This record gives sequence, structure tokens and C-alpha cells, in this order.
Amino acid sequence: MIASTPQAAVPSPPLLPETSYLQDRALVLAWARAHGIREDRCADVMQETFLRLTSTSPAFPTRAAQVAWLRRVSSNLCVDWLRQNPVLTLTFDRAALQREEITEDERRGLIEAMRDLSEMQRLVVIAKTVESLTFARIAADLEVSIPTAKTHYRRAIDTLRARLAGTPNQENAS
Amino acid sequence: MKNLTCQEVDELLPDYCTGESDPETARAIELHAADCAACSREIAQWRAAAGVLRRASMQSPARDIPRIAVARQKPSRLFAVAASLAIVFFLGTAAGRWSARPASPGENQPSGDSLVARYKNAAIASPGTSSLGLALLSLARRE
Ligand SMILES: [Zn+2]
Repeated sequence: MIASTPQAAVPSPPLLPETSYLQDRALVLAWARAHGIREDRCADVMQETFLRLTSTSPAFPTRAAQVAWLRRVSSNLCVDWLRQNPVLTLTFDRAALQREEITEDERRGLIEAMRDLSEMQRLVVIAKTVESLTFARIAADLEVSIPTAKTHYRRAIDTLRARLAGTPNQENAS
Repeated sequence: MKNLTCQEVDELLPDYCTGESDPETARAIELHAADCAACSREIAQWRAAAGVLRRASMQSPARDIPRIAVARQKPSRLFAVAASLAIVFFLGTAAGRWSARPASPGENQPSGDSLVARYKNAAIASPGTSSLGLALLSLARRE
């Protein structure tokens, strides 16, 4: 788990883009990896996210809003790429395959699930699993109710379970 | 402690499986799951699915770049953006403009002559130039 921002009562101000780059790049890489895409593409997503931050300089009311923006932009970049590219089966050397922390089947299921999820489902599930944010905090970031955030999480997990089991989730498939 | 139904357990799964349940509710769910194979399996599958996502996010960089991708990779723009942002950052620090003081809410809007603004102007003036090139161009204009 990577901590993004403290869940403090007083909102922190946003960081300058270059400071955000230094502080948040590991988090952006972790989000990208959570989409199941490979490291070279994760690095591309990370740099593209910060190029957008630097080139557009959005005015964020709070640090939390800045992190939420980074999470959304990087996740959408990941999914744009996943939707344009087939799931490649690359040949690994055996030792590398044995070192993998997720199996190729798991990666494939993860990628297929991420392609299927709505933006909100994706953002909730990566905020929950990568950053361990509370549903209350995620709901505030996404400007939805807490029950809605939980529903997004449930649907994301259901889709991921179905993909890992090799069967499409009917609810999201329709 | 209240005995939960399968339906109630199901409704509590998002909180329970992410560690947000209060201890009493968690205990009630565990008591139910101990005697209910369906809910026990459901909990295991929720945790397994979240676990895949969490493990994927923690993949070590060196571990999953396949050789074919490394060989194919064009010169990394990652290095360029890292270098340019680092240069901009450290020069800004050296100039005392953004030294260790915390950022205030308005500070992410650079002033007209800040290094970030120079970087942005260079980017607008020369689309397609490499990030490192833009940073160097920005530095040259500063001299
Ligand atoms: Zn049950």
C-alpha cells in the first residue's frame, strides 16, 4: 500500500507540479501497475500524467483534489491504452516467469476487468486496493455518496472475480 | 451478538473485506462464515480478487519488463521528463523561489517568469520537441 495524502481534517494545499512529480510518481506507477499493464508502459503513463499536470497546471482547491486528478488521468491513460492494444502473450524466460508476483492468467484477467470497468469503478477499486483509502474519503474525492462508492467497489470486485474465473460478468458485460 | 443472515453478510462485504468493519461486526461476519460455506467462499474470492490488484500494483519494476519490450523500447521519454522536471525543480530551489516552505493554494499557478512558465512557453512554442530539450531551451532562455 502506498499512502497518498493524510486523511486530515484540515485540507492540505496542492503541491507544485515538480514537487508533486517527486512525491507522487511512485503512487502513479502503482496505480498504473494495478491495471495489469507492463512496466515500460506504466512508465509512459506516469510521465504522460505529469506532462499533463505540468502543461495544463490545473487549479486544485486541495491536495486531495490534486491526487484525485492524478489518479483519474493516469487510470484513463491506462485504460485508453488497454482498449487499443490486445493482451499480448509475450515469451518470458523461465526464471523471470517464476519471479512474477502475479501469474500471466491473473494479469490477463486483471486487464480484461480493467477494460470492462466504468471510470468510477476503476477509481474506487484502485484507491481502495493501492492506497487503502476509506470509502468515506473515496466518496468525498469522487463527489458521490458512501453507499455509491461501496457499490462501485462491489461491481469492480465482481467483475474482477468473474474475469479471474474466466467468465464474463453479466452485469458489466451488458 | 446478532446472528447475521447471508444477505446481511453480503451487504457488509465491502467494509469487511477492506478492513472498515467495526470489530463487533467483523466478529459476527466471521461467526457466520465459520458455519456457512457459501459466505466463506464469497469472502475468500473477494479477498483474492483485491489481492491480485494489490500484488499487481506492487510489481517490482525490474521483474516484469520482458526482454522483447526492452529491446524494442525507443529511447525513454521517462528519462527526459524526469531530467527536465528535476532540473526545473532544483534550479527553482537554488534560486530560493520554491525552497523548503510549504506550497500555498495559489502556488500551483506559476507566475509569468517562473521556470515552470518558461517550460510551458517553450512547450507551446515547440511542440514535438523532447522534454529534455524543452528544459534545456528553457534554461538557455533564462541565461
Ligand atoms: Zn452465509
